[in-house]
Amino acid sequence: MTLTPARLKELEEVAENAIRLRRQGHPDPLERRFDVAPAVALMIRGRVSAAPNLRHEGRRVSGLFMPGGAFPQIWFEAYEPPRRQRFTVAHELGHSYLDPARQPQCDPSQVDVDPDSSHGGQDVRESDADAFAAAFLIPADLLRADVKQFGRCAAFLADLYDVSEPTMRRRLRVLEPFV
Amino acid sequence: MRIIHTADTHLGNAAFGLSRLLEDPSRPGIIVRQRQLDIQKGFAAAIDAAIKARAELLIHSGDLFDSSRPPAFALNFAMSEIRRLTSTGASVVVVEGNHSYPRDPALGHALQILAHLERVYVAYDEPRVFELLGMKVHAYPHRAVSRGVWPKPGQTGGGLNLLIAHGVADGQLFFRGDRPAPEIRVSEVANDFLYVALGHYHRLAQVPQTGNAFYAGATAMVTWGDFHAGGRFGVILIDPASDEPVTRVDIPTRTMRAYGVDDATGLNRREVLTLLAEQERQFGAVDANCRIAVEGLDPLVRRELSVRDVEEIFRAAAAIQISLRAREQRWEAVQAGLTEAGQLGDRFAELVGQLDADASFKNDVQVLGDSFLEQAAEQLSDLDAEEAAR
Repeated sequence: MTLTPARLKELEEVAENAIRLRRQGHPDPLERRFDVAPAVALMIRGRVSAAPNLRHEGRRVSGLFMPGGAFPQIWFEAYEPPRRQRFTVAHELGHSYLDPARQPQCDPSQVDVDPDSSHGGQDVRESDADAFAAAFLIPADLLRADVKQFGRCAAFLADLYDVSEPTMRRRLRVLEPFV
Repeated sequence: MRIIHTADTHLGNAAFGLSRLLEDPSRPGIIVRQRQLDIQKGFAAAIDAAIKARAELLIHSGDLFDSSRPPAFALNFAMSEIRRLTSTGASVVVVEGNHSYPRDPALGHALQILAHLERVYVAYDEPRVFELLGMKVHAYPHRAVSRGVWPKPGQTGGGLNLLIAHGVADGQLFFRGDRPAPEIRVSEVANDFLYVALGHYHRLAQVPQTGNAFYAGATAMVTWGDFHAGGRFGVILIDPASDEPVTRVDIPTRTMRAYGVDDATGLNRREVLTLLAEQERQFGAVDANCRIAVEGLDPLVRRELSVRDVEEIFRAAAAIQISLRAREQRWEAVQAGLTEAGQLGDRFAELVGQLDADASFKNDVQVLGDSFLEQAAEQLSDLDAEEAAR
């Protein structure tokens, strides 16, 4: 689902709050390739773990956020590629910010989806969490500075931020008027 | 029981392209491309991983060799590495892939030679079942699979079973790669096996809808089609008794780095080179396989920008692939551009102004161009006069 500019702006602000919190607990606030699992575990004051063949209610899922009251947990699929895992953890963190009481089970087809190619098949909560994840992993302020310094090259920038190239392309597109 | 799964080694691949040349350390006086050596090192690293894991079995899911008639040095290398592992007591099973089967069966199969080694089991032409470590290892070679030979659900009859094959799992385009291979119906039989070891797709990946079917991926960048910036190659460790029965084991492989400019519209030669140099300073190209892609160059800038300029920035790379592409210019766009810019002379002066050159050179170009434009205008004027007279 394609998000409206107003909704994207709201999600950007939520992600900026999350980035501020992450930077408080991180020794290098400008680190672009931070280790997402321990950083997010600190942020949710819970646990972030990999599990092989992750399932929920008999269905394969890429990630799982379990609010669980005092001890929230995020699970991600152990057999997915590392960059995909990184995005999934940030996506689940998005759920914890955007819909903290609900327990989402993220179908692999619903995570890290190009809103323009999903033909409306992506749940709005999932597209919100995707936009949050991209904004959290690729902070707008850093990306703007990097595009100025290195030029616009999605493959190079994706490597710089340890995200997939399609994720970086989408992020550049969202920030296009500003970068 | 510990098993290492590897695939798609492609020993003997010529690794064409811009690559550092060096002497093969194991063959004094023989000059080879860096990427050829990387392919060999990848296989040696897979063997190291098996020895380190104290694996009892190594399974190779096809394309150990890049062709059906591998060079003698590749055959020799494969045999010496396999012997290094089998001397620890481990067994090895190798299946034929789509690269390594002889189109003419009369030529014989390179894998036949490997089968002379102790504890080495090979499958080519027809499916084979090897009884090893208390389980049945079902090996489906390329030639059999391409004829449609494939296990039926429930065919194994219970017990511990392992399936090895080379092909495109469930016909998914994703796993096809750049060379055709038969489709194999993995998900309908995966539950009959402890593990399904696949080859053909050069990255480590799990087959969707299965819990136990994996591509191990290649052990080095075989072609530029395998390039993925920041990516790694590895093998899979299978340990059914472990909490995580399938684990990726990264092997030391060459770093892959991507550089470039997605849209170089409006940038001159110097600006493009400055951006590339800045990128190289951030992520050093030293000893890396580097892909540099600059898109949307103004045609004039493209003519000025040489591949050598770019090579110079990335001279420390092990191998590079450079693509410098000018923006597509259609005649209508050129005409529109000329009209937008006003008179042809003005447009020419503007283009000369964008040249990345010193003032005297620009002046020479301007003078020369002006004289050509003047001549052209005169000729057009004469033609117009002739036309009018007619």
